[in-house]
Amino acid sequence: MKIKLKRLLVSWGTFSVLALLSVVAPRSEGAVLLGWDPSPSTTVTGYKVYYGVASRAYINVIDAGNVTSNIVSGLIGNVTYFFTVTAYTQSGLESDYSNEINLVPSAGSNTPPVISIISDQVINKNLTTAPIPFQVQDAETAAAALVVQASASNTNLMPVSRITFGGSGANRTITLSPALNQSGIATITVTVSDSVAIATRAFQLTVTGSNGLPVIVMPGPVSVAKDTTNAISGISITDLDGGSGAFSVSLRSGFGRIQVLTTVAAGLTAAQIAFNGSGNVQITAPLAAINRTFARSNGVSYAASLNFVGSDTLTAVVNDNGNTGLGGAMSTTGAVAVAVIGSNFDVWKFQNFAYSDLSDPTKEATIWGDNADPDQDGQDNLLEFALGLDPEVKQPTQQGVATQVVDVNGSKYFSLSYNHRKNEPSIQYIPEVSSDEQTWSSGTGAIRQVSVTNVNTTFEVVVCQDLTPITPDNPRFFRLRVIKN
Amino acid sequence: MGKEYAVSVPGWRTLLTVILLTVPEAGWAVVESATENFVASATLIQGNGGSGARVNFFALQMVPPPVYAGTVTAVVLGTLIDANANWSANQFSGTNGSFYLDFDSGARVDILATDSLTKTLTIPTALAVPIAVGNGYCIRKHLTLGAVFGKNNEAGLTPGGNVAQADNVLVHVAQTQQTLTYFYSNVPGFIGWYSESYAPASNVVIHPENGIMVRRRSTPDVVLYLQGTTKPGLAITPVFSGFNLLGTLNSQRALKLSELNLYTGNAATGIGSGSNPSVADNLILVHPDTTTSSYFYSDYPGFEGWYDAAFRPAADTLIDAGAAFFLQRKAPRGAFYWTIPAE
Repeated sequence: MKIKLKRLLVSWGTFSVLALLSVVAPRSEGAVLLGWDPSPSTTVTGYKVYYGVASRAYINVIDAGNVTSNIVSGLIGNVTYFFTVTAYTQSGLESDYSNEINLVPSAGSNTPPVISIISDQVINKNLTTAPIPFQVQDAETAAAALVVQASASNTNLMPVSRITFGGSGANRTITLSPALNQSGIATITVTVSDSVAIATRAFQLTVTGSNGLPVIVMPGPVSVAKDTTNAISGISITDLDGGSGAFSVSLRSGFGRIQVLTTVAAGLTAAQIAFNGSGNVQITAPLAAINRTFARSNGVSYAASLNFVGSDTLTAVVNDNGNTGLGGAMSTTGAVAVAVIGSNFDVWKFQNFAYSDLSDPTKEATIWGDNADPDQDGQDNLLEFALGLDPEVKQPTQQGVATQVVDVNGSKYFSLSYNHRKNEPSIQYIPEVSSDEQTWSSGTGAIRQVSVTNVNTTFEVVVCQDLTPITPDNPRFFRLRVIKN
Repeated sequence: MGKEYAVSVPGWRTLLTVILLTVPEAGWAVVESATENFVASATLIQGNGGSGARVNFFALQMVPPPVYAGTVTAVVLGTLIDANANWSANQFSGTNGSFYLDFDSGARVDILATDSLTKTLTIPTALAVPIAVGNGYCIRKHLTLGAVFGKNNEAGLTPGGNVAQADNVLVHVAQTQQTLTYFYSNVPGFIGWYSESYAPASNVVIHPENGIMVRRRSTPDVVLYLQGTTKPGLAITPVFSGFNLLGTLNSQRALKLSELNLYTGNAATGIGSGSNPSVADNLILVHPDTTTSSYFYSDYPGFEGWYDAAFRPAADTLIDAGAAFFLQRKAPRGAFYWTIPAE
């Protein structure tokens, strides 16, 4: 099968078309595949194919659209046809004809398949190209039946086993995954076969040698109990060009302390970790040792600062220190949200006291301890919390507790009302009565609950009454005991 | 080794299993707190038996609940400063009523003025116990005639147009050796507590350690119900030369004479002893039937201790909670501060 090629630059107005017409001889019904070079003009929006049986007397035209090939069919065998191409713009301007080619379609013989141009590719090492599209066609064979293969001029860089094809029919893709940590240039040759003939298309793959980004995987959000130490598992770091050099990893927490295990075999050693147990742990070690320790279930543990409740973030910053490649060090940051859970009492303290005080163990007795009384109003924090008082504003207990002498059927009884937190199982409210301040009684045998009145979403007021009347020489005593389990 | 816990917290949508490596023991500790002890008492005020009048003696068994508390940060003569105070101007003085400082030492100091800008309380210059920086204090509102018997005479004493018609409340002022008489007036336009000279008296202060006398002119008994908080710790009260009507402030426990801290061995700081009641200071206990018993502290060699007027040992004689007694401080002995033992 003969192929005629001719190259001609056609200019018209402000644009031109550089036409390279490649013509494939017709098959039995009479068809040819025409191809041409694209116009260098940026305003070109399409091409038209003109043809006829006499030179420069074209009686047929096909708008091929903005492509650089077209199949012209319906040709009569053994008749000489003349073809030319024009380019046009969106506004309708059309160029002069390109060079003209002619051919005589002949029926019955196989023609090789055709493969479209594949542009050159540039990627960094350890990366994989996106699927690169190309088209295949054949005059006699269905596109789906065409077989594509590839070879590389530098298999150290681009092993054939790491070349994959995708797509189907006429639209195919090729994906290139160069060898790890290799850089350089390789010519990739794609071959398409219709089982009788082949066509090839070559393009260049350039793999640059820049240092690749490390990748860090962090676990999902975790919830931990206040004042506990908890393993944070699931941190891992990968860096395809990391090599065996030392990486720098910092593990940071806004409100917690991070402890990295130093007893994992072939893992991190104490000498490789600075500020271990602090909120900013610095690790300098090979990636393998880091990952070996991180892979241990308790390789990294987190403990929120004393009395902290709320949201914290454990942040990991990985720096490969330039390992390995050109362009200097690369770093990546990962984070895991940590919810530090405490009781309502803990949250209340966190809302009422400065964090600097709460995290200071020496201030337990004076500021944040359950039995501390920072406002020195005679009510400790537990009582202030239970009764809904402000721990830093001096308030009489009577804002949360009140007593009264009530008349019940002519007898006088002592009654006590108090603010009671709803839905607070960790706090017990125990009203107690006594006749001598020595022996105290509680419960239904000694006290009757008179009423419970809703105040708001948090509090209700409970009124209870001593079951023993007040009589001369027999004073009655009432108190409210609060217990935190 | 760690132990696995499923942590589920309302409000947190994520349910995660975390490995709990350590749990501080303190996290599981039971912590306890309690309010002050509130007390309610009933005092029988006996009727006149059908004619005349009957004088009832009693003392308070409680103090008003604290309305403020703090720590002294500076003190100069006649002034107490609490730099951390958040009181408002005249919160504890003036039209808000009469208040006093109750120190951990037991000293009771009246508040004369309250300054919010300088966080200063003006107090008397003469104090039972010197106040020092770091002293803890609370502030209580003074009990008054209206507070004890009710602004509207909720106690149910017999009202009248004057002291001769109505029941009387008698308040003995030891410093001046005066006994002031008050009554509940039912005269239209003048209903309320008045002095015998018809001055409004609802706000007359009744000091917590002082005894009270009620002269009942009606037949039925009356029960006076009071409530407050027990007095924690010591209480210090002045004892003046002459007669003093006092109580122990205890809510429930009776105290023996020997437990009263009245005798200190030093007549400048406690009762004066003597070989007989005529020489020594006397404690005069008024019984419910209005009879009295007198006691003194003997310093007669071989007979040191409390004795009654008949020279019988009396160290174990009880002063009941709520009972009032006279302490006769004999001239030329001057005033001293009595430290009432804690209940």
